[in-house]
Amino acid sequence: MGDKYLLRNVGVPDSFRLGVYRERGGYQSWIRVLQSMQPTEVIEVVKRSGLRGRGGAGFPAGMKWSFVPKGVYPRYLVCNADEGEPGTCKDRVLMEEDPHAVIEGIAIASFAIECHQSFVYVRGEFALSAERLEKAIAEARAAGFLGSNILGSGYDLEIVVHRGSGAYICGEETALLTSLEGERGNPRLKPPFPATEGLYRKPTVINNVETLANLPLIIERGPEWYTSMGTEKSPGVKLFALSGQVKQPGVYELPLGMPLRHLIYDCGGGTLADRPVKAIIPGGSSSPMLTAEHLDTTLDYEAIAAAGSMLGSGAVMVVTEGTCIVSVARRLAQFYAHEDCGQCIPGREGIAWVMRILERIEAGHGREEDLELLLDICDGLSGRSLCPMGDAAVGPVRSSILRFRDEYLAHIATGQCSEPVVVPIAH
Amino acid sequence: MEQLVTIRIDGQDVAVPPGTTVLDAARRIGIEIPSLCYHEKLLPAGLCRLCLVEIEKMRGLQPACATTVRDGMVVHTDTAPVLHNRRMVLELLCTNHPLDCPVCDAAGDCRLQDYVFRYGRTDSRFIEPKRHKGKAIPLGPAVMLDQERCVLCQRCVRFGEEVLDDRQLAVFQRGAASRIGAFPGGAFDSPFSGNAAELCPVGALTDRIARFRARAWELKSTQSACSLCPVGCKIAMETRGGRLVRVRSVGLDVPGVGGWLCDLGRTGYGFLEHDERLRQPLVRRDGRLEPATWDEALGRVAEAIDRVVRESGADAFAALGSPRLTNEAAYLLSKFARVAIGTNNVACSPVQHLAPAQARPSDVANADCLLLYLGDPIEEAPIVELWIKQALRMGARLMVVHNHTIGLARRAHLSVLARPGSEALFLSVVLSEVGRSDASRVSEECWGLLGNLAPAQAASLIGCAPAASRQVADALLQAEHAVLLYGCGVGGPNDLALLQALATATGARLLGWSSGANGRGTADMGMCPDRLPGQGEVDSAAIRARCKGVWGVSAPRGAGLGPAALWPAVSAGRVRLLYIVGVDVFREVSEASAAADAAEKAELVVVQDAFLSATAAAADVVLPAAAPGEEEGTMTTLAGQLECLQAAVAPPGEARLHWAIIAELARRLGAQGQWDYASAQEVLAEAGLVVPTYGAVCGDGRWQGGDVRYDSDTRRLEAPAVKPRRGQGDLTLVTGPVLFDRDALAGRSAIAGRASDPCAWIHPSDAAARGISDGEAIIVSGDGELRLSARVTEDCPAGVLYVPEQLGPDNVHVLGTQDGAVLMVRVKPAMVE
Repeated sequence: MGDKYLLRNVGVPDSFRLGVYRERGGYQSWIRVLQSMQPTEVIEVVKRSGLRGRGGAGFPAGMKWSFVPKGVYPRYLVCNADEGEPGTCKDRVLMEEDPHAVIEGIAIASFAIECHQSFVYVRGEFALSAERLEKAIAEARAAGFLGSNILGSGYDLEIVVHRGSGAYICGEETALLTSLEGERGNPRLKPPFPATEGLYRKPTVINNVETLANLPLIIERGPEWYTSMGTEKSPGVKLFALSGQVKQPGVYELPLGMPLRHLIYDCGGGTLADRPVKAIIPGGSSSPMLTAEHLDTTLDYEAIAAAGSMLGSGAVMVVTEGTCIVSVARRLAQFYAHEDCGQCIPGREGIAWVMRILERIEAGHGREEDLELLLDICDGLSGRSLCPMGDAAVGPVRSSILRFRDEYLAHIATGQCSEPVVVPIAH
Repeated sequence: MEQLVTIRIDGQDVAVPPGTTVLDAARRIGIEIPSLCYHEKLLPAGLCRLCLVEIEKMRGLQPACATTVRDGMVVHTDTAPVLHNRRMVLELLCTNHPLDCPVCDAAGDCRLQDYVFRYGRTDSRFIEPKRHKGKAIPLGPAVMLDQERCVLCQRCVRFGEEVLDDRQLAVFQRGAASRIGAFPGGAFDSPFSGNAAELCPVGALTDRIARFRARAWELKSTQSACSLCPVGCKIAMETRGGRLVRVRSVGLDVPGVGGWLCDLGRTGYGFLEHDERLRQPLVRRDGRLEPATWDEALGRVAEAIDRVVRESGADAFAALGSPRLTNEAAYLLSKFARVAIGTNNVACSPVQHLAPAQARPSDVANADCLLLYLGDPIEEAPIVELWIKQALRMGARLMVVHNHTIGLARRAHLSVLARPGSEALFLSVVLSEVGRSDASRVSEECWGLLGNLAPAQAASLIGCAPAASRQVADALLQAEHAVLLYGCGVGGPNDLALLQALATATGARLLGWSSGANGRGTADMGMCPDRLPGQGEVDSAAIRARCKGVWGVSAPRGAGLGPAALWPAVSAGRVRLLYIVGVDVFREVSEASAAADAAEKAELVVVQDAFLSATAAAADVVLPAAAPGEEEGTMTTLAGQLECLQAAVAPPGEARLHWAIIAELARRLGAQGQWDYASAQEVLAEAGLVVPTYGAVCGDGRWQGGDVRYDSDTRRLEAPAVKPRRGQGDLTLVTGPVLFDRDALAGRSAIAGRASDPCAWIHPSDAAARGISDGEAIIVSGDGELRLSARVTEDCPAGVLYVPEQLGPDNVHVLGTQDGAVLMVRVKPAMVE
């Protein structure tokens, strides 16, 4: 299965305890940063590593940090641990099994942006993650890795764990900040971007759990080590959460640039009942569907984009022949309609309308013109909603119509599915 | 001057200040970019997505409401994606909208309707069943909600958050189920709630009073000013078939401090059609008031005046006018007493305590430091509260000095709770602290009076922290734009003298109000026993000469009788004739009890009013007069702005305008000088000759309103002292106005129901000592007795009984006057009979 870096401690007994983490080399990077590096040097190292944000957008992490305006304090670092996209469960593994790696990453990033108060916004359902993080923070603090004047360096840092209340939208960074401030978690208008005006209207960097967990490794082994893996534009390693109709769903660590086929067949053991692959949702439920034609497409930001989808969070969902594509699209539309915040008109009315049309088609009352109507509503949502929710909802719907139009038409013509549902997905 | 930024919109260049939004820049060159959630007075929210436009070098469509201009920006508002987006957003909005325009109050005045006609589809592609939400939900006393019509622009919610700093509305649920509502167990009962209905771009929030009473296109709009409180907001009175349907604000779409309207102004004109409106003159025959002709009524008054003045001299006549009167009526009442009768017995009742206005509304909103002294804007001049909150949002420092806890004290950086009667002493100490910081700021005379004040000793008399006066002084001295605000609690000339001295010493501007809507204007017009029109002392040679030049007659010398001195003079028979214009002296003023007793002894009491008030019911002749909304004229706002009042509806029956009745009476008496006026404008034009500051604003007969400039007018400072106590009791009575039941007008509108029940606030310790629990009936005894319900609250300081002033047969005035002294009262639980 290859070398494990991000998952190096997963499976080790008591991996979440400070002692075990330290025995396995933990906090060495943090000590090195404190003792021998300047914030700008840390930023430079991360820039050179080419590390891209692992939350979904793939934006270069070092670049994101450098957008913080000079001379404005305080600044905040917020770790986005509100992992809520259907199919995505990679951050949870890190938080539950290796919380100190996440904390060490937060500490390094905080130091880099000169922040003294960080927050971890944990998805409400992740009770164990929050508990492990809180205990780990207490351990790290007691050991002097957090708190004031850390290891005599003069640098202070506190980390607060904040639990969400079960809203998917709070994973969107501005909604997350609003929620963290104690308000209802509604996305905000951008600009201003969080880097200039974020939490409590102060410069704020928001990084994904996995992104931060990469930092101790990059500091320890150097940016060149990191760029030696993956592709030129997508360097390094990535966690992939494989789910759907596969034999061995789970979280797998691969260098970027491996083919989809490798993940599905070599890591995941192939599809259930060895049915042919019908559709692949490669980057979380909001990414456009690919098909069996794309099995040799490589899992890196550029190749997946070129195939018409996005790598997103790296949550790969596999749909096999025998599954109704209308049903898949309907279920995902229901999810987005349910999770929409309701602030903007496209999001509020558009997603709900899409959902109801899909429900009607699935129930056998579709009309041919519904497909053009759906595509037109998708155009009305794409890039026009207040936050990226509109695009997220459109991703699976539009791609399913474009790639499986004949199946839709058959469903509409006969009033029922030509392929009875074998295994439901995405509950 | 700021450098302008030039951008190109649809091929047209426009130069605008930096920070302007693309939407506003487009509007300047007549390009409409539709939007539902954008509002000039609220922060951009970017919710409706209707305003998306294409901007070159930017990916996708951008919200014009939230995108600020950058030099060289090229914007397109008419490309296919922009038009597609508009069509789509409007289609989406209509999917679940009830499309009930035929029965919607907003039809004809609805953004959604207009936009769908202009940019929307003509067909519908939506075949799913419509989603249903709540309809006809009373959000509060003034506003009704239809959740199905709501476009969720959140203007109403944002208004609460951004302007009121008081969240009563919110969005509940999420996604397609989202809906506006009041918090569970709460109501949208802010005194500014009506603004939300006006902000609503569709028919979701409607005015409960106007609901279903007219279609938008049937309404005739009359621009006027609201004369129900001293702020004098610009309003549009909308009528249908000669009846007032609703009142709307003017200038709501203009950025800046103005434009909001309180619910008193918006929904308080119900008195226009009140049952007690007078429709014809009444005269007392055989002890009963009976209808009469104008000829008979005026004849009887003229005959009595003629006889009494001949027998006892001009000073046997006295006139009292309400501070609600227009400038024109006040001017003619003053002239009537002085020219037609020959007496200075003409006074304003209740007495108004005002110093010249030195600040505009924008000065308050832009102040960096505010001292609020003995005023509670929300009850007395509501919109001032919003000016203060705007200043607070911008980081101003607020200091409150009062004798009970007002709402704004909770938002103040420093709140001084002074013992009743010691408030002026606190100002004196602040002034002395200013002098101690910088002796050059305080006059020698002032220093002579205050120099030996010991702050610590004074603080113990006041009951405040010893450092408070120093902190207030420092804050005022450090501020660049400080404003001193004072309100209805100001009790006399020394308060004003101190405020003026403090303003002068610290460079702060002074702005305040008293109880009457036009207190400032009526005083300027000379409705004072010791001052001629133009705020000049009756014996000032220059003013006398100016009056004589216009009137052709010399004004009488020596101050006349004010309200306090008047009633003893009536009782003693020295004053035999009373002419009471627009004020219910038996109910509305603190000498109410004395007035009721004395009036019985007067030979003839003439009441000229819009209602059969308690005073009118006891009068010998009652002259029916117009009410606000029915009269043309002017008022002078608390900030010294002359506002024009227009008649939106006609007075009922035979009722006439106040100024016209006074002029007619003068003609009957064959008075000297000019008494023929064709219009209120003509009266004001003459007043402008006597009061040059008004002449400067409207001396040319054109009638546009404007700022009245005040000459400095410093009152003489007295030695600092604590007010003496009067009465047998152990609690100090403090009273203050109530917004929705403040006077004869508000008390006769349906909104009086929004005032809390007559009550008295008492501190928990005082309540416990007397065995009084919250909500229990109590008896308060002063000169008279009053039954109220107790409100046990820490907002009332220990040792104080705070009674909100409410109109009604038994109101707080029966306890006795508080002029010049603090009134001590006794409180006990009402006995269970």
